[in-house]
Amino acid sequence: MWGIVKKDFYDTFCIPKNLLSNILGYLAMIILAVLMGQNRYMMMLFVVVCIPMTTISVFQMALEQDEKVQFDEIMLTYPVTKKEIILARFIDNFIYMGINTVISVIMVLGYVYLGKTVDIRTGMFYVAAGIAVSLIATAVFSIGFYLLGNKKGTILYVGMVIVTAGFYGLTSRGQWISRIFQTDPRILTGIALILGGLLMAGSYWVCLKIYTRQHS
Amino acid sequence: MENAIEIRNLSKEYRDFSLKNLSLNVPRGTVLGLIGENGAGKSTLIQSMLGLIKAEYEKIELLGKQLRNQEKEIKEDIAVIFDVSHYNPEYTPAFIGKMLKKVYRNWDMEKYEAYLSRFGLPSDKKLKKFSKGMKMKLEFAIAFSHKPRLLILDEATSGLDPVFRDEILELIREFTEEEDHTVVISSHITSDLDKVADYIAFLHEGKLQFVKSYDELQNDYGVLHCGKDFFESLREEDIVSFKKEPYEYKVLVRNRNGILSVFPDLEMEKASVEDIMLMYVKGEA
Repeated sequence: MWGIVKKDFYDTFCIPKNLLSNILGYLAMIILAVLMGQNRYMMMLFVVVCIPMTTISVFQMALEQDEKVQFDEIMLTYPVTKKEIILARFIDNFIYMGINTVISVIMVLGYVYLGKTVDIRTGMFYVAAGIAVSLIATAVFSIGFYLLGNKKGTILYVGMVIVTAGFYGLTSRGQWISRIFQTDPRILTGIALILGGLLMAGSYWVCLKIYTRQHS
Repeated sequence: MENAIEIRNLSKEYRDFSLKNLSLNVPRGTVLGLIGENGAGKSTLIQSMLGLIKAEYEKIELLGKQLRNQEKEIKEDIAVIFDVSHYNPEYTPAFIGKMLKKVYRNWDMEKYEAYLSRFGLPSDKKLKKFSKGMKMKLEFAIAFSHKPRLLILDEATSGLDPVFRDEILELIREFTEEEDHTVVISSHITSDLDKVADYIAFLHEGKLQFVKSYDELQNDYGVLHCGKDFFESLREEDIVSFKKEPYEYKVLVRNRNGILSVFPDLEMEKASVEDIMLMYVKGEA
């Protein structure tokens, strides 16, 4: 199982095309962050929407590579069960979620101590909200990718990212999020995290069913 | 003799094809050649017996373990090689080794590196720079490096030139020197099977027509060319199939020695695996 995780990260970070797209993605985010300066809503866009939405990219990039060479054919001959194959993809997601959380925390620290945009407590709540968004989005997109394959799954993914970012931008420049957080941030974040965790568990089960059906 | 493979009543239904109640035993330490035309069910059989696709069966036992509840353990001892490489062209043999070290309990990195060096495969070169033959050799290096006891080749020699195919057959022979090592080769290139197979299993339209030892096929089956009168004088049970050609009958017969004892002057060729397959598929029964 860990061999599959290793392969997926190699696909994402060592295949030149994917490495380049990852570097460009992070670079674009850094440039935007620097250009927009102390903008609180931009910070929320990065930490709560953009970074969490990229969590699925390890899985997407691995799936893209697997489809090219029909890697599943050989992978299913390995001493790994279908459950472990799906679990490996969810481990990918959790590892990348961890990496993204570290990036978000660094970004928030920059906004807190360099930009003085928000206080540390608020910043960390944004990070927690980002984790919840990450869990929910990854759960949904994993099913989408297993069900639709890489191409159609990517269309769904890009579409959802645009819709979410657009919705965020249109709803009073994200002030609705602030309002939600002002009500009772601890409880709301907790609920979102629990919901995300439950969705991930459900998503694992659905993905396993889809994968088993595809290979029977 | 103990069996490496025991299959009882295996069936797999597709909309336009089905594998029907197939039963098959393969003794340990032997090479089974699996033949049949395209779509005969060879790959379906291999995929079913490995649990890669879901099939109905009474029993599938590989290397003494039940597929139903010991699939993972079975796969530790099996190596499968397909006709094309399923490894990403951006991978290097070195990376594949590192990945598979975390997949197989028995992975032997030293052995893997020794095979890479023996086959002249650079470990840090990307697969996209490898020829088809080099990729196939890499597949063998991978296959042999986790100490499998059952090697399954699904059309693995197709598309290779005769020199390369011969090298591959040599590797198979080397593998079977260990007495509990078993090989299943599905191949269109029946001449390869003539060189290495101990048993031949023939699949036609999803049904297993026969499983016979290669020696039995060689001794029992024959091809003769004759006129109508002679054809009609043959016993029905000796005729496997025949083809009516413009000036003669081409007949695949069993009981070759029996026929020759009655007609000592008869010119009858030994039937090759290809003859048998072609006559079964194209001839009239």
